[in-house]
Amino acid sequence: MSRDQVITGTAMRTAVGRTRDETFEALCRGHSGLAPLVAFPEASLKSRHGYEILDREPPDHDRTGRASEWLVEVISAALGDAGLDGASEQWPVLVGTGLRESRSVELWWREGFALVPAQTDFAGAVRAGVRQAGQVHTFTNACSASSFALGLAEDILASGESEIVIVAGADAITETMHGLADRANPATSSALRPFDTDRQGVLLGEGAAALVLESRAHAERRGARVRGVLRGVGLNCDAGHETAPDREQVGRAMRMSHERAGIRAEEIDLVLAHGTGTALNDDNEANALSDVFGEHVGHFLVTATKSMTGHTSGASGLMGVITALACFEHRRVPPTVGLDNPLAAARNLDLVTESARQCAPRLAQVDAFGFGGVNAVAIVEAPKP
Amino acid sequence: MSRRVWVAGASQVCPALTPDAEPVDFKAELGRKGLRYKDEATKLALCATRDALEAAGLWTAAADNPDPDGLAVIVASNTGNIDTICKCMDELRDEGHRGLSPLDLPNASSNIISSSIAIRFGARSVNLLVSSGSASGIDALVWGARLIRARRARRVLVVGVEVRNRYTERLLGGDDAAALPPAHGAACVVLEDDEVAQARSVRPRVALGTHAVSLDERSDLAHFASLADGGRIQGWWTPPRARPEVRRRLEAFEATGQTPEIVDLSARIGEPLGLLGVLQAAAATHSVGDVWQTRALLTAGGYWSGALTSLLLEEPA
Repeated sequence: MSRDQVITGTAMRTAVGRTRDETFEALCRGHSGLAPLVAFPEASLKSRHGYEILDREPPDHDRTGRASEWLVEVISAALGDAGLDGASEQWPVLVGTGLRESRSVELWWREGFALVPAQTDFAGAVRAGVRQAGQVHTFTNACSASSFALGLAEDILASGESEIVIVAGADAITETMHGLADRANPATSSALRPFDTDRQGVLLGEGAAALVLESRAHAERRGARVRGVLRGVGLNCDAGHETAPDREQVGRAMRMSHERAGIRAEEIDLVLAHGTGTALNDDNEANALSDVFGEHVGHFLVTATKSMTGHTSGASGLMGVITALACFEHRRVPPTVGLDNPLAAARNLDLVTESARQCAPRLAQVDAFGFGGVNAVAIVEAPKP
Repeated sequence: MSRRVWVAGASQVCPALTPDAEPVDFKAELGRKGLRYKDEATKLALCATRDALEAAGLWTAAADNPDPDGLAVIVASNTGNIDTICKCMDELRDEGHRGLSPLDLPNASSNIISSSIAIRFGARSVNLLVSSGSASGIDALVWGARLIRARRARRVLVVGVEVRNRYTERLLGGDDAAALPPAHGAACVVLEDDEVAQARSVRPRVALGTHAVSLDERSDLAHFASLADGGRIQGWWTPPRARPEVRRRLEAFEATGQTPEIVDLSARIGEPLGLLGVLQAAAATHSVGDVWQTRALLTAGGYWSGALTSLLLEEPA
């Protein structure tokens, strides 16, 4: 559709890195954040592993508001990266999350921690912590939430309502979602292994990501460095089943993203897969890629970084976008760790495994699919060299 | 001039507004199929949505939704799945991981409300749950209009829903002296693109007008001035005036010199959170072009970190 929307600042924090650069380096080394969960009681856990951010001190001493803290941290860092940390203006902040501050709700309900209603969304924390934050919107949209936020930010910018929109995602692991996801996994999962025949299901991760989306005209006027171009985001809903994905509708979201970006499928050279290591998603996503890309399906690289960050829920889509921009810049694509035997549907994909691949991708597709059949596919492009 | 967005239909299921009515019989309203494991918020939202679609002439016994790919869903809710989280937390802590039921997994994801609406009414466009606190309902309406103007959707089901139960009573009550008991109910308005309405020879009366947001008191005067510029406002639907901080901010309206009839729904239904903006829109839709002739102002938020947010509903000349 256009090349008029650029990304001028990015930041993320995950189980494998305190910053974007630390995270990307760790991903390229194949370093996983998988570890025994530290804060939940033994009796709550069947599977004992996850991809936590280790910021509790002492480790089993929990507190409320961790997701909000990371969110403020990454938004501030993204504004700094964009050279806007000294700005006096305020811009809309669109936050995508799967679980909001539900961990805080759990601690309030069961352990007597203080919590006021305003702490269940992110507006209070972000407005208090980020001077440039205008109206803060919280979209609780399962595992594609931050990519939905990116799509809505695209619309705000296109309409001319604002020249800058801050897009973010944040999620902390909750005891109940860990437990329920674990109940749904076919076996006790000890690692998240996207697209592998022996995958045992999803394990949650946590973290936050933020980016500054800006009109190209505004970025050029202030001489900002461009980290990438947002070409378009396709958004739709399966309207089929609460938890099982739909191959046709996932494919439709991919096609919508290409159409909005004004590209042909074969121009894509990198796919950051949703790849959750579940029986349902991975087969479905691989099949949808085959449907959409047809004979070109082996002609682009595919990787799934949830194998190292865990499933960071609503934050994961934006983490994919920021990782794609880092791949453009550093000319490397991180591997999917733990992928030894690709499932049949994925055997025709050029999956990056074992170690990072040196290459120079220019156009990336970032997949994000969530419970409720909420699909969001983003297309980002490398800045002009 | 941006594309006109119409309110094609509206409805509410809010027991406090009809105190003598029987409790909602969801099975009778919606049929047994697919309801068994749905939470209260989802069931309320499904009822309100079905009624609003019927009012819009888009859901009849004879035909399903005519345009699945063009129909989006935006739900405003902040308390929707607090009950599932707290109940599962009790099960985990009292009985360990074996105490959990996998059937609660879908409800643990807050967007079960919006996805359930999509599944039942065949809505394959954008699907969103907004939980931005006290202004969520008006925000959801504004997001709906944006989706239509960005041509992501041709119609949008905008739903507000909040629930009262022992968990939300404790969460919203807390130490807050001005706290109202949580509202319980749902409202839905069907937004429709101008061309789409014309194509099916429908001429709705009420359209969305200007909207305004003020982040703090310094911009409240400009906020109301921008809305009052368009002409006489006959009805003003306000956020909870039981809250002193809200009353203080609404004082800025006096400078407009307008003296509309004031409706504070929270006095009847309790703390409305994300339900409010959509319920205001549903109620005002039936008033504009009838009791009030031309123009209603909806205002929500202004407390609990929510921005003060307003939207005009009007009957275009």
